[in-house]
Amino acid sequence: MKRLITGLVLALLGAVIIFKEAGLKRPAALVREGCLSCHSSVTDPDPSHPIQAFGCFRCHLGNPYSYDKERAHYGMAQNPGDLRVVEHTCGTEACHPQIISRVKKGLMATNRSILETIQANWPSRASISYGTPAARVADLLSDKPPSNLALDHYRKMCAGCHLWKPRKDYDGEAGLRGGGCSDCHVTQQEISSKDGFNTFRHPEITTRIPSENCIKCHNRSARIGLSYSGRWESEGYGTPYEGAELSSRKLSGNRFYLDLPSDVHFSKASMECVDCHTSVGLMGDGKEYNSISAQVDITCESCHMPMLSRLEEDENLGRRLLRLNRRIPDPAGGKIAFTVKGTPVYNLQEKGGKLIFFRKSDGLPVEVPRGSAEKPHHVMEGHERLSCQSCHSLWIPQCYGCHVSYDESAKQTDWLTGEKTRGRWSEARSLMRFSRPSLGMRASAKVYPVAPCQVFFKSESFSLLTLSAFDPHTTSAKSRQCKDCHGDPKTIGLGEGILTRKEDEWSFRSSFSFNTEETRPDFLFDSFVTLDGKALHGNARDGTRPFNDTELNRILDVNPCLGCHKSYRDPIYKDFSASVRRFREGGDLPCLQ
Amino acid sequence: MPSVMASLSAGLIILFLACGDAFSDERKDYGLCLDCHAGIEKIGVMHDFPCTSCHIRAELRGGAISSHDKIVRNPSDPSLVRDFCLPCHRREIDALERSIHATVAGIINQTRFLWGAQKAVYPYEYGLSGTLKMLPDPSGSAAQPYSPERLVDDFLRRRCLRCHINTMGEQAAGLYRATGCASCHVLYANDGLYAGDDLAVKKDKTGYPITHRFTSKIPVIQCLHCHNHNHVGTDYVGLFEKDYHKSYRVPSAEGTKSPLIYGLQYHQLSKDVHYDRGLWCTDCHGKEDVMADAAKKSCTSCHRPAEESSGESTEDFVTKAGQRLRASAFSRMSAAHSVDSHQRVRCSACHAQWSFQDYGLSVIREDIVDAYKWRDISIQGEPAAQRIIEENSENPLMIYPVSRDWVSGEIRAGLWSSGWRFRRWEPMPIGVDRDGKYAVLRPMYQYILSFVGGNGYVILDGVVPTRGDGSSAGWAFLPYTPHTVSPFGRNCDSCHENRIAAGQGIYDGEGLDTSLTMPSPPVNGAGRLLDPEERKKLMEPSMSYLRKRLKALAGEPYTPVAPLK
Repeated sequence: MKRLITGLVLALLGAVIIFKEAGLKRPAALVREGCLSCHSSVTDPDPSHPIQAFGCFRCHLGNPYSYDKERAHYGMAQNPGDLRVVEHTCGTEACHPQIISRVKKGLMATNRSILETIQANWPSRASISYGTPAARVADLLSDKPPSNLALDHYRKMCAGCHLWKPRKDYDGEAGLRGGGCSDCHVTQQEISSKDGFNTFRHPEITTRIPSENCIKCHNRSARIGLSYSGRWESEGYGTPYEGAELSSRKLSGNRFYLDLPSDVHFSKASMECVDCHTSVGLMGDGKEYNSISAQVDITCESCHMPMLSRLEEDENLGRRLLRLNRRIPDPAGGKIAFTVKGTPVYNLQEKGGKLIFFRKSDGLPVEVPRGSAEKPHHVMEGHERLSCQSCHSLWIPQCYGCHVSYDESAKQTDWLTGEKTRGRWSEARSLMRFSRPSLGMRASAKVYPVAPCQVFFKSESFSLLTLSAFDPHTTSAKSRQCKDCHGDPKTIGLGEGILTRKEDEWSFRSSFSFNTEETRPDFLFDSFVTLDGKALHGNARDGTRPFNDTELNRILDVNPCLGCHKSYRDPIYKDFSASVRRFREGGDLPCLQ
Repeated sequence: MPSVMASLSAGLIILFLACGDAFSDERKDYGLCLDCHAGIEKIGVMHDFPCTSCHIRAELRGGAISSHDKIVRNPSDPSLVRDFCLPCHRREIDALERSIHATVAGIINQTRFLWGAQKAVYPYEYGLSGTLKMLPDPSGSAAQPYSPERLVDDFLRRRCLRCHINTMGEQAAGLYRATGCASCHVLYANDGLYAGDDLAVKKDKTGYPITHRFTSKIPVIQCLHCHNHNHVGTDYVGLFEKDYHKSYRVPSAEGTKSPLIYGLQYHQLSKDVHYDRGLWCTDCHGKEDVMADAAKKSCTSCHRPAEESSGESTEDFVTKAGQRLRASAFSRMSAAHSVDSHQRVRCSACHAQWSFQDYGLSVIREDIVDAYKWRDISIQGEPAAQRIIEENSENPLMIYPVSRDWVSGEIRAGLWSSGWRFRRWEPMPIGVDRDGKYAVLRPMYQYILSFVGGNGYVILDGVVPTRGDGSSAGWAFLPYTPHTVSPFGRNCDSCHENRIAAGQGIYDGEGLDTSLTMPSPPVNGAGRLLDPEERKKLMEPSMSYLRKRLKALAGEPYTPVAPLK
């Protein structure tokens, strides 16, 4: 009896095994990887990574020898671009080893610029115990991460946008951010896999990166991703209403936008972000920078006053990028542009004496107006330090008064761990503007558009008033007028108000009053400097500052003349000091008649 | 819905309580006021009467008063004023009832015209008192309002006319006030608390005047109980409404929640120089002006040209606050004042430091509402509406809101909400006022209307109303006098060769939100935009202008601040 039972059990077991084995789908022909036995029909992510040649394992790891789902998927990397696994996937010796070491040192992975800025001023000011600083996101992901109050703020308010962040960990826009290489190189098309069990539409990999991949992150703070296409984050009214709903002109986080003039590169040629921004500027060059301006290598001059050079046959990077793009024609011995760091701008080519720009998305050629170094307005004495942006930026998003509160008793989600931890931050703002940019001196000693960063830390009663110089990405072909700088108090950093001459002295009256209740007794929102050159905003990490008294005086000295002498060609500007002397001595000048 | 009703009935109870403790006791004579109200202030030397002369109706005087309900709280209320104040103040009351303070005809006729409900603004047709036709009451009409002209009276009554001396408005910080004569002449603090010695009045109960006094010395704060939001009044003290969104609710310097005033928080902008010097509204706006629309003062009523006073000092005057001041003289010879064409420019066009530029007003009436969508923008300067939204904004269900008609006091279905495209104080477009003088324009308003009926159907979906004469869209900019005066004028460039001043808007570009900065014409009779000739003159400067500009900026001879090199 016992034997019979044992026999029966064995027979049953055998039958089950035979049945299961028979039921397993096996590839008809021999394949190298077990993955394809289930995922038999997968589209190629792009022509450079054909599945026929690469298979799945090379990128996604796992166990290619098993036909069992569990075992096959063990150790698999769903997103090979994730910086935690990328050395074993995209970055293996045979593939892109140099790029991933660059990317990991690049600002999008380190957030070094943010981390340094936020930690720069807090230790001496905040009474709450201050620990070790962190230099990069990776430090915070280590086993024993540095910790301090500024970093807690970073974790909860800023750390949702960097390459280490896993993808799809949150709903909405936050879930689209992050994912290492995939953050930028995988398009956001819906993965419409499941038509039949076996068909799988592989996410598309590309170097023709659509701007939406950039704007999913670059829509806060300086908001250049929005400004470029003429969108300005509004005061949140959600107007005009649509049906019974608020406006559909929505941004993430229940924000809304208004339509403003867009950047000329967008309105004239619908250029995408990567049409200008190079691989080196975006992924870094292997050095670890602490500011965006140091990493980015594209400049206005790269295209409009280009350094052209022949694309030699052995010029590796330019050729490779061209091949990857597959839309832009080969210059075939013609000249292409190079950035200040020597990155080939392969989509700007010289053809028959003309500068032709090719859109990376579709290869459409657009003729680029050549900036002329010899035109009087670009070579005027006294204007040597002007950046292109100072005259050609139409508007800049400005956020005045950032009132930060910290509630120790409440909890808030840490973007890096996904856990709710003690301490909750909240921010309120006083006002927002999109008006004409104020100008100041950028660290590189260039005149640049500036926007304020005015942190009022409520719980600790200190404030940090700095200026941030950046290209607002609101380029206008037509420049601002002379008087916009040489007589506009807002532009030169005094603020909105009345600037006039009284008894041979300049006099300024701000449109704001002091408001001790909201800020502090000596503070006016848009006054970055006083008329006698006392800087009210400063101590930016990179040294960006408002104009000083000498600069202010020199700017304003031109003002009285600008009624008549509007042209750069005007002879009085050839030697302005001499002209002023002549004017002061009186005589037969027409303006004194 | 029940919570709305609950909140409203709670509100009503509070209102009744505020109107005097409703109690009665048969054995008691409520005519013996001072038994309870021991310590109460005398109302003033001019009204040295027994309590009952003002607070008990004539027919009840003499006998015992059996109930406190029979006591009149405010004898100057428009419903009672003819019984109590008229014998002495017939002239004032007659004039006041016909004045803009009582009729509110300006707002009413202008808005009705812009929404297409009447053919012209002037002469005024509708009002709330005097000889004008009463503003129609929409509650009687059975027909569903389906067009702007049929919604305008409801909008006015429920959203605009809370500031109206005939009825009480909102009861919230800054807004506490009385009705009738007392709305100006009995002073209220912003917190609505009584600070006198009457033992019967609780010191922590809101809705009371500061003391039981009648005065003709009316300080600025009193006028601001009505003249708030972004209207002339708040600008005088440098206040400009903050944006509605909750991300603009800035905590105070200590980190605590900052209180709202007039239903919102305010920016502290530069104050009018006259306010800085201690002048009250009533120092310029005297009795005849405020109560009878007559005898208005102008800048030159006080400030005389130095050349005309020929060395003699201008007379001193004593302000309502008791300060002795002397108005400064101005020179006719200064660069700006000596320009011929500037003789037609309002002083305020140059001396205004900033102005109210509220662009793009979207208003929506919802008879059924998903309050959740308003959760971040519940604070709209309207405390009652804010309460309704906030009590329901976490509620996943649609609610049927009700709100008050400030004129009739009736509660009706529906709630008005509003939002702006953007609000600014920097741009100052120039137009021509009714006297043919150049003045600052402000948008008032650029309406976009929506109406969602009780069944959820969107009856009006973002409609721009048409003016009653069919001439153009119901959007208007109006010339006005910003009460933000600076001791010195703005510079030449703020109007000349300035596209915003010339009415060309901030930027070029059709279809952009910034095109709202391009002015549309004032209503007929209120002035006009600059004509092409004037615009050209402003934008293409003449040689004589350029010489003046140089003189203004460089003086003679010109000395630069810092010699170059």
